[in-house]
Amino acid sequence: MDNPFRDEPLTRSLPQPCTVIIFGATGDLTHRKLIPAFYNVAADGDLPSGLRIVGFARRPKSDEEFRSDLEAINRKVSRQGHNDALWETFSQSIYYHQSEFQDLEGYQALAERLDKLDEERGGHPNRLFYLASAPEFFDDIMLHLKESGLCDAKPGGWSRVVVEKPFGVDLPTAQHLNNVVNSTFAEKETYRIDHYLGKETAQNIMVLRFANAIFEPLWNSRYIDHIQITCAENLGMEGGRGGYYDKSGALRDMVQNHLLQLLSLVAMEPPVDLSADGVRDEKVKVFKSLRHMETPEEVAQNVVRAQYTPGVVDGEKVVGYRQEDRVNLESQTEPFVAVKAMVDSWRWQGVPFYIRMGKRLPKKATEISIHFRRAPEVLFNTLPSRGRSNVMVIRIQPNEGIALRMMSKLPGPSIRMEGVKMDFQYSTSFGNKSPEAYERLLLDAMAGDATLFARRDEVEEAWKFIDCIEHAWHKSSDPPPMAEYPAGSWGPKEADDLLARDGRYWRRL
Amino acid sequence: MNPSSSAQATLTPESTAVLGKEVKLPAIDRELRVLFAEDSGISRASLLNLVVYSEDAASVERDTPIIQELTRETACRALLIISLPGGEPSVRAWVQAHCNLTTGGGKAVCTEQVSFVIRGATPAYVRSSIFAHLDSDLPVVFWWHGDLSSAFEESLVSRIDRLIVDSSSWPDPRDGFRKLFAAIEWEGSQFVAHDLAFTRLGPVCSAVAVAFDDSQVLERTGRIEKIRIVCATPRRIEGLFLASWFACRLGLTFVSGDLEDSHFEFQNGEGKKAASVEIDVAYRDKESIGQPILEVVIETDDGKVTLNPSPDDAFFRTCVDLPHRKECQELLPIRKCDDGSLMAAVLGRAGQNRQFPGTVAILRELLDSEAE
Ligand SMILES: NC(=O)c1ccc[n+]([C@@H]2O[C@H](COP(=O)([O-])OP(=O)(O)OC[C@H]3O[C@@H](n4cnc5c(N)ncnc54)[C@H](OP(=O)(O)O)[C@@H]3O)[C@@H](O)[C@H]2O)c1
Repeated sequence: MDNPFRDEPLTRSLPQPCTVIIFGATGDLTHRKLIPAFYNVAADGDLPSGLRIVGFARRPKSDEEFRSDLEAINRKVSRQGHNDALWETFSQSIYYHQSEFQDLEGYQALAERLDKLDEERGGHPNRLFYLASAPEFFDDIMLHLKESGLCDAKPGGWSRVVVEKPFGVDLPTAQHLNNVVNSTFAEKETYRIDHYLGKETAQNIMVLRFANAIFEPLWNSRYIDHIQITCAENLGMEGGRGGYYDKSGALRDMVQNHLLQLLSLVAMEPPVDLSADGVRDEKVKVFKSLRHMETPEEVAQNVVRAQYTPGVVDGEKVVGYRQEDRVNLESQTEPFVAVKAMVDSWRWQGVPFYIRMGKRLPKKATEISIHFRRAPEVLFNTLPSRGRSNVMVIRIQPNEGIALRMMSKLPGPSIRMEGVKMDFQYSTSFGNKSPEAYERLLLDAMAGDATLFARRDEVEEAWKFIDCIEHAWHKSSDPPPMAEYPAGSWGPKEADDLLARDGRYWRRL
Repeated sequence: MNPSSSAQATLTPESTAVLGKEVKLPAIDRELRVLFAEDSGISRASLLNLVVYSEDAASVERDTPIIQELTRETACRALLIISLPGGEPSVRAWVQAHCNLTTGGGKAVCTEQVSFVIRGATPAYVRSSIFAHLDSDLPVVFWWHGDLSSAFEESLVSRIDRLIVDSSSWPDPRDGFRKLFAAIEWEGSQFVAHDLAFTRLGPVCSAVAVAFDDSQVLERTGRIEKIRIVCATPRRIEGLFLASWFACRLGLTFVSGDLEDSHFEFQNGEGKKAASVEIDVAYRDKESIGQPILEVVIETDDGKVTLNPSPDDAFFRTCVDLPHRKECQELLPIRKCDDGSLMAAVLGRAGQNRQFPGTVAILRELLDSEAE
C-alpha cells in the first residue's frame, strides 16, 4: 500500500525505516563519514522515522560513551554544523554492541538485542549491515551473520549489506570477497559503495549526455578525438596512510574503482531505463570492452608508473615517496599512474581514454575532459593548432561544474582567434547546498536503490583490465620501468611522452 | 507577508538607500556593466529572473534583504517593482549587486538587483519596466505581494513561468483564488502557481507523511474518522489549506460544512463505501506566528496519531497511540517559516507543485461553504 501523503510523482525512492548495524564502528570511517552523513540526513528531515544505528566493534564502550565520542567528531566535521537539540534526539537511536568479529556468541547476542529493541521501541524488522572494517574480516563477519541467522530477512522486512572499498586487490581476491558476501546476501541485496558515484557531478554526467539533445549526436569517435580523466592530489602519505597505500598503489586504489567508474559513465550507451540494472548493464558493457594489455611490452607502451622524488608542494618542502613514513625504502608501488585505455566498441573505435592519477601533484583536482576533433583546416588554417580544438571539461572536484572551450575571434581588423571558455559552476548557480556523497548513498541503500553502487560483474571486469597491468609490473621477468617526477610537478616526462607519441598533450589544469 | 503590516509606508531617501545607486532609466544596462567592470575578482551568475512585485512602499526595506539572502543559494537577476498609486506617472530606478563568496573563499559570485518605484502606475508602466529588463532565455519567477490587482493582466502573466502569491495576505481569499484560477485559464498562461500559505505547511505535511510511513499507521488510512487541526489565530487560511490537503490526499469529496465554525464533512469516494470524515479547524492565540499549525490529531476507529511542534518550533513531535503501542518521536526538523525561507524552499524545489491545484479546488469549496 502506498503512503497517500507522500509527494508524487517521486523522483527518487524513499529511504525505509531500518536498523543499521555498522561493523568497525569505533573506526575512522564511522566517525568521520558515516555518522555525520546520517546526522546531516536527519538535519535535512530525510531520515526515516524509526531508524536505529547499532555500532559493532571490539573495545568495551557503553552506549553513552559511544554517542559522546561520535558527537565530538560530528561537531568538527558535520557539513551543516552541529545542533545540540537535534543531536540529542538523533543520538538516542544510536547503540553500541561490543564483540569480536570472530566471536559467534557476539552475533547471537546482537540478534537478541536487535529483537529486543524492535520489541521495546517498535518499528520495522529491516536490517542494513554496513561493513566498515578492513576486508580481511569480511569472511568472519559474513560467516557469523549467516550462522547466527542475522542475515535472514524477517517476515515483511529486508536485509541488505553495504560493502566498502577495497573490493579485493586483484581478480581472485575480488571473486573470493564477492563469493563470501554473496553466499550470505543475494547480489541484489549487496551495495558496494564507490563514493565517487555519489558525487553530484558524476550523477550529472548522465543528465548532461542524455537530457541534452545537443551532445549525444557528437558523443562518438566521429567527433571526439580523445578523452582524458585526471585525478590529481597534492597530498602524499600523511597521517600514516603510507602503510596501506604502499600495498596498494594508484592503479588499484583509484583507477580500478573510481576512475574506471567515471570512464564507464562517459562511455556507456544510453540505458533502456534508469533502473539500477538498466544503468549497470550498460556500464558493465564498457568494462567488458576495455582492451586488455596482454604482454609487458603492451603495458610498457600504454601505461606509465612513477614515484615522486623530493620537491615542493604548496610552498612546503616534501620528501620523496620512498622516504615517506611507513613506505618501503625499495618500494615498487606507484603513487602515479597514467594509462592509455581503449574501449573496443562501435562508438569509441580509435578514441583513446587517457587516465592519470597521481599523489603530490601541484593541486587537488578531479576532472574529465572531452577533446573534440578540430574543425577542418580550410578557412583558418594559417593559425597555430595547439589549443584549437573544442574541449568540454566536467569537473568532479573541487569547483564542480562544466566548462566548454571554443574558438572566438579577437576584436580587431585581422582574423586572430583565441580559445574562450564558457563555464558553469554548481556553486555559483545553485549555492553550496550539495549533500555529501555518503549522504546520498546511505539514503539510496535504505531506499533499496542500487543504481549508484557497483555491481559484482562491474567490479570483476574492472579487475580483469587492471590485473593485466599489475601482472606485467610485478610478475614478469622484464617489468616496465618505474619513472620519477619531482613532487609538486605534473608527473613524469614519460607520461607526457605517452600522449606526445599520439600527437596529443595533457590538458593543463 | 504579515497581513497587519500592509499599511502604506512612504519612501524617503533613507529608505531607498538600501536599493543601491539611483540611475536614469535608459542608463540601467550601462550602469550594470559599470558595476561589474569595477572588480575582476567576481563572476556574474544568473539562473532565473526573480521579479518581486509590491504595491506597498515598505517592500523596499523588507524585500531587499530577502533578495540578497536568496541569491546565496539561487543566482538570479532580481527586479524589485514597487508600484504606488497617485500622482503623475513616473518611474525611478536603482541598481545594485549582491555578492557572495564561494566555498573556499575564492571568487565572489555576484547577481544584480534592479529596483523600480513606479508612481501613478498603469499596468503598461509596470509591464514595460519588467519586460525591458528580464535576462533573456531565463525563466521568470514572479513573487506577487498582496492582492492580485489590476496590474495582474494577461500579457504580463503570459511571461511568467512560476507565480508565487501568499493568500494569507489577501483581504478576500475567495476572490483572490477566483482571480488566480481565471488567470490559469487565460490564453498563453503557462505558469506554475505557488501559494506561500501552502508552502508554510511543508513541515507539517512532511511530518504527516513520515507518520504514515509506519506500516501500522498506514494500514489504518482507510479508517480515519476525524481530523482535528489547531492553528494559530492569524493563520486561518493555513488551517483550511491543511484540511483541504488531507481531503485531497485521501481522495475525499466535500459533503457539507460551515466556514463560520470551521467544521467540514467529507466522504470517501470508494464505490459504495461512504465512510465520512470530519475535519475540524480550531484556532488558538499564539504570539509567534512562525509555525502556523499548533496541533493535528488524526483519529481512526481504534487509535490516533498526534502531531505538534516542539515548544521551540524546532521539531515536529509525532505520537502514535494504537492498541498495544504508544510512542512519541521527535525527529523531523521544522524549516523556518519566514518569507525568505519559504521563497528559498520554492526556488530550491522547482517542479510542478502538483499537489497545489487539487488542494485549492477543495479549499475553494470550503471557502464557499455555509451552514445549511
Ligand atoms: N576511513 C575512511 O575514510 C575510509 C574511506 C573508504 C573506505 N575505507 C575502508 O573502510 C574500512 C575501515 O576503515 P577505517 O578507517 O574506519 O578503519 P579503522 O579506523 O582502523 O577501524 C577499524 C574498525 O574495525 C574494528 N575492528 C578491528 N578488528 C576487530 C575485531 N577483530 N573485532 C571487532 N572489531 C574489530 C575496530 O574496532 P576497535 O577499535 O574496537 O578495535 C574499528 O572499529 C577499511 O577497509 C578502509 O579501507 C575507509
